[in-house]
Amino acid sequence: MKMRMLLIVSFLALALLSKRSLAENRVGGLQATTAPLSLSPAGQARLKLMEISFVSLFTAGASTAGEGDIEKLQGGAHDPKRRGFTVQNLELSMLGAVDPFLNGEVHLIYQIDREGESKLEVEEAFLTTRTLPYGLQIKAGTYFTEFGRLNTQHPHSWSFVDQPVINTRLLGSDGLRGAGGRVSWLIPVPWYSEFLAGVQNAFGETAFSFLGATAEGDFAGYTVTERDVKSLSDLLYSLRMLNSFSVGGEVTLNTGASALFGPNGTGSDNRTAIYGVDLYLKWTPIVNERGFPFLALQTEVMKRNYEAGAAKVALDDWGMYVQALWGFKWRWVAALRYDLADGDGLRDDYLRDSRYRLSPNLTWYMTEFSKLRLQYDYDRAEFLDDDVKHSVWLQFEFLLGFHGKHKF
Amino acid sequence: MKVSERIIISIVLCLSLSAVFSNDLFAGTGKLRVLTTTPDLKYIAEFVGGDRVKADSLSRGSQDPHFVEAKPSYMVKARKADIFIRVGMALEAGYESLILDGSRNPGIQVGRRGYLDMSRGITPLEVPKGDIDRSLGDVHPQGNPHYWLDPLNAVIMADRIADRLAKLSPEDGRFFKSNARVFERKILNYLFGKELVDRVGGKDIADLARKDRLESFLRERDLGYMLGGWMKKMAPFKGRRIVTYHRSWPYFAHRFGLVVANELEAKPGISPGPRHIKLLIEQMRDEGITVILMEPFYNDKPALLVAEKTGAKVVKAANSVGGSEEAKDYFSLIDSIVRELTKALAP
Repeated sequence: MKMRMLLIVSFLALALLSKRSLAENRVGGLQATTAPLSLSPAGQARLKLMEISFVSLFTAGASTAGEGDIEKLQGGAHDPKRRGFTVQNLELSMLGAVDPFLNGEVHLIYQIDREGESKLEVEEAFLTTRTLPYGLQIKAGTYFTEFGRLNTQHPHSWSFVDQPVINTRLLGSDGLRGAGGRVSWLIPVPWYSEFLAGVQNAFGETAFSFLGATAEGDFAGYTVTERDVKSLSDLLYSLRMLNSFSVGGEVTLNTGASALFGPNGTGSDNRTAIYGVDLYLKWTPIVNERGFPFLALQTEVMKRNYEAGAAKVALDDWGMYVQALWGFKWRWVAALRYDLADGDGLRDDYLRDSRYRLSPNLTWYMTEFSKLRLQYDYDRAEFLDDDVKHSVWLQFEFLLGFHGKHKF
Repeated sequence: MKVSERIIISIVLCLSLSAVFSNDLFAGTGKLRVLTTTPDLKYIAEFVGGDRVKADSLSRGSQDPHFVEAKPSYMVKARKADIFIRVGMALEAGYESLILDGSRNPGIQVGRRGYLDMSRGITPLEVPKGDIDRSLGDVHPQGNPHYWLDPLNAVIMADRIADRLAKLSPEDGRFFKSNARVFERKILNYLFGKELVDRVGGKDIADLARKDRLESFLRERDLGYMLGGWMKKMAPFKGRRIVTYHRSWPYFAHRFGLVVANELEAKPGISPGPRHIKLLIEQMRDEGITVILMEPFYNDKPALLVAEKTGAKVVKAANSVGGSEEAKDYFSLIDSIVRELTKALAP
């Protein structure tokens, strides 16, 4: 009950705030500069309604794993999934200013599945506020939950051809996303400090550890039943704290901590909690050639507590990945990633067994708009009787249109 | 919902609410906080703003201004800024919106009073005509953005910064405008020599130079002997053809009468390939080109290779304040480029 009161009060406060900032803006708009908004030097205005881009990502590959096992090893929805060619991701993105107060962003995904059927997925469609005061920003719509670093990134900005094993296991093959809203606050301290709190739907295949389930309709052997939202506790809550420190102009360190709380579908009031910490360290010398050379280290560690079934059996899973990127020459990046995932599950459960993977790769960016990437996966999994599988993937990408800016 | 979850979520909501009442933390220092994308803009803003502003630049002079990362620390700088000043013409296209959006600072968004695009008011060079696409490399549709390397453009920039600062802080308006006049005079003296500026008058001499009529004017009035400054130093090399690495020198070349015959990059932003290098070497031999001008942050291997084959000299010159030890401010920046070039161009 208190919970509910707090929520209502905070949303009311935010609603008031946004109204006030609307009023301020109108005044500000009248007093604003005399220069028209997007006057080009030649004197012609260009109306920028939205930026559009289309990214196409393909992989050709070979593996010592059989077709069925590749599907299990490469669990991400955009991972290369078979010997031969995989259409990983065809993504149409649109973004721009909706009006003086809102930005909008839409990402539509086209995929061709194993049977050759084309599918359309709405990956994200959300608005963010432009003009809230006090360092606040609201996001609303359907979007990737801001948990850790990688979950919000689209396959185009990944540094590897596949997503980390632990992301697939805890946040789902498509990444954790859903309809909802979140508030972010840029805390007024001398360094970058951002606090995010959000609430989203907990159901569907994109909320795998919550009310979602595997394609077979179960979770670790427990039957998952769909249920309606009856109270606030049937929603998914997310928290994230991100701090970023700049050291001497050449080094930036981001540290993040995230948490997720929500219901799961194996019982009437069963809960799931996921916790994670992430770290990103990047060094680029001041004197650099178009961003090269650079060194970037990134790691995420996450853990899930899942209450399964009527008896609320505690299922614990954890995992991590650590990756290093070495941009040794303009347009060339060598990278290495180590993946580790483990759970207290049965040895033959490919989503909860003990697993590690080592993936070196080399990427050549012909320009910012096209790339070639060669990756090798050394994969050892309990469900394969501790057998080691070797895979080689050649990824190629092209981007048409607006180049979405990469978040640091 | 578990008790622990309730506690955590409640704490967070309380924190969010406290954000609403924490306005005091944003209180300013009394000075206008200026954030620029390049150190050249910062220097001019400091000159014009004097002790009434506190200026900071996102990029450093030794850095390629096209490739600045949208670091979170930059968003913190933008959050506190009263005015954001950019070069424009798509120079900042790779990072600006991330920093402005990330700053959560409504006052510096595009179109607001705290957002100043310096390229307005500049006569652009190399504005592409007709259809352009990415097969041509990184072409800037609004024209070449390296306009700050023409000292006469710096005068326009100082004026516009003064105007805008005066709108933000009207009580200091006269102070800003008088500083801009001092800046103009200093630039003109450096450019043409004090004697000639005094004789012709600052406004007239700048107008004549902008209309490319200064030379004929001086000839008609037999005032050529009074010319001093950078123009005099560069005068012996008028019409000389040079090669540059990137297309970053047309404004400088235009002001001082040099001709950029070709670039090492076959297309802007595309690394030099062997075929282009071969053609370039032939062209340089045919046309007697002896100087390759480039910024220190580009890979010098292709330039050195071409220099070896043609006997040309490679001039590495900073194109931004702070880009070299000598380039401490805008005047010493242009001074160092003129010095290096005249040294290399002299027989």
